[in-house]
Amino acid sequence: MLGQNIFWRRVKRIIMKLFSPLLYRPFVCAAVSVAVLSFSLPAMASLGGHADSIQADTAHMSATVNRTSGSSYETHELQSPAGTVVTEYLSSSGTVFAVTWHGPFMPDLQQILGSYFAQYSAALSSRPRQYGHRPLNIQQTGIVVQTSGHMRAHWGRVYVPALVPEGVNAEQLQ
Amino acid sequence: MHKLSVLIFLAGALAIAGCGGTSTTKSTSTTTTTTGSSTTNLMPIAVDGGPTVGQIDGGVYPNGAFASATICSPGSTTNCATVSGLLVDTGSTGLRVLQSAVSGLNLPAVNASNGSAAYDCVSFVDDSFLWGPVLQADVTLGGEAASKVPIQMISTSTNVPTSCSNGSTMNQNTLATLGANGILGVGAERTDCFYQGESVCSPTSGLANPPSPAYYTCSGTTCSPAFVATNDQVANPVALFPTDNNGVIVELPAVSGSAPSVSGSLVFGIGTESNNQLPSGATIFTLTCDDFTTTFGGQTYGITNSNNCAGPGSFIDSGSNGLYFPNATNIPTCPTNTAAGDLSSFYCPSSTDSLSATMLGANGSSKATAFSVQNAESLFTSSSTDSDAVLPGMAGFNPSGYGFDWGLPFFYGVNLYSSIDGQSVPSGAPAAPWWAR
Repeated sequence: MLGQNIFWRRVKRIIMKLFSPLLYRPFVCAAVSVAVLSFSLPAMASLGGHADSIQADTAHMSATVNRTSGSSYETHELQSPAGTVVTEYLSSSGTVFAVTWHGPFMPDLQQILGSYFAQYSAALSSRPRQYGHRPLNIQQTGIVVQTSGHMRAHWGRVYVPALVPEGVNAEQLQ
Repeated sequence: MHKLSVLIFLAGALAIAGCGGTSTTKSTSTTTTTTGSSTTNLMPIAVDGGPTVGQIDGGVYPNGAFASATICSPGSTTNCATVSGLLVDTGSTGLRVLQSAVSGLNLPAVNASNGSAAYDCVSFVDDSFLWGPVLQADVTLGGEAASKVPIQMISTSTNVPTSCSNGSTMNQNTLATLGANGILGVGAERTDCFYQGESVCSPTSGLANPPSPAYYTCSGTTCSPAFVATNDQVANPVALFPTDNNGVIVELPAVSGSAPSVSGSLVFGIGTESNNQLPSGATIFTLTCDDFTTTFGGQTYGITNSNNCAGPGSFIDSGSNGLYFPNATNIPTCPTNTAAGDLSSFYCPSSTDSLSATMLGANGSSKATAFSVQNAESLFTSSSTDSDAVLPGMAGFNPSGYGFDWGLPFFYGVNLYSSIDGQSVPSGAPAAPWWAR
């Protein structure tokens, strides 16, 4: 199962063998991955960031990337080894205006939301407290947060309305 | 504060210390171990507003089915607690209990693969989360008992790793925030870390690093992701029963409208006893990535790629307390400023909206399903319904493209059979997991 990840797992096993003394803690592993994949990544991260921040996220997630170009934006689909897919939407002006995810584990939102993480967290705190678990749909001027799913099937979409290219319906991004 | 239900604006600081404990009784009775009898493979459930009723101002949990469990230290008949007010959830796996609801109960720790005590983190779709140690317990549900079940003890500790909280401040480790004394996850998997038929938190998963947020071990106040062997992961207690362990049936009566409460049963096993046989006319929906397909309003919501579970799909989930679906038919949403607060994620048709969708299984099965959407503002604020726990017309918005969440309102009047992946099923039925009705 998880067929798409088998190749990557083999790669990881080789890396693990090479670096096993270093792999006791995840931050060490992330550091190793960064070192393997790139030597000059900025510390800034994704939503609102530039293309290089996607590279940083890719390294952080130990992900493989599938990149496609559309007329008004590029998508970078980051597939983590455990199966979560994060898609980052890069406008033609070079800014990540939306991120979406689906998969068995929530992505590291502090990483992929970058400078918008605090705004995301504040948006979560603003919602009324209600009994029961249900999808989120937080529509604020500065940020939109939408989530859904169930255990081991998380879906999410966060975008910055002011950064969405004209003619793009961010509510349709998957 | 308005007396009604769902929309209780519970300040985080609302003092509820001790509330959970009142539902706990120290038990000295022996656990019931009778199995194989058709009269003991079930337990009562009730949509009754839950354990917050009478405990917390306005505390009615709408459309939540609640049950009790007896939890004992393995092998003990005296170190036990009976916990009521557990939310029955077919959308998750594992028994999770508020520490405050079982204070005084001592259970042994379960270790991660690295030999240290394991902690579990569960993220819900609204980005609330549960955090706490994995402990081992004998669990009795109705007349069935499972031994040495890894459960999650929902911790009162605020030392939660950031990869677990993930930007959320919704640590639901109190009765006031969870609205329940715990969650009884009896979903389609054997443990809480199965994905695509594989327990991906296991050291044998082939992953170089433990996935997160899931399991952790802690050194001092620093907690790091860890692998946990499949048998030590927080488990579906039903799958660990000696018999009647291949699934559950949620049985709730039909209702004609909103009501204070209804009672039903959670039946254990499918096709193993006289009371849990699949009816001859039952429709079975096999699942892909634990989801099936719904067509509604000209849209199709189902898994489109079984390799990476892209979709999104549709699911039947007793732990969702409404029907949540994309607004394909342009139902008016509720105002942001109502007597019950911001209801903009709920639907507010001017009169009851009678709708129909079609459920489709990966095996080609199909069944039309009628449902109703009522004005949520009216349900939550009208004096005739604001204290009702049974709200069959409660429905809300699922973001565009994000599938159909058939929550508890779907269960009224439907006996829902939910099989567990990897368990044997009745002859003639497809391999689990599937739902049938």
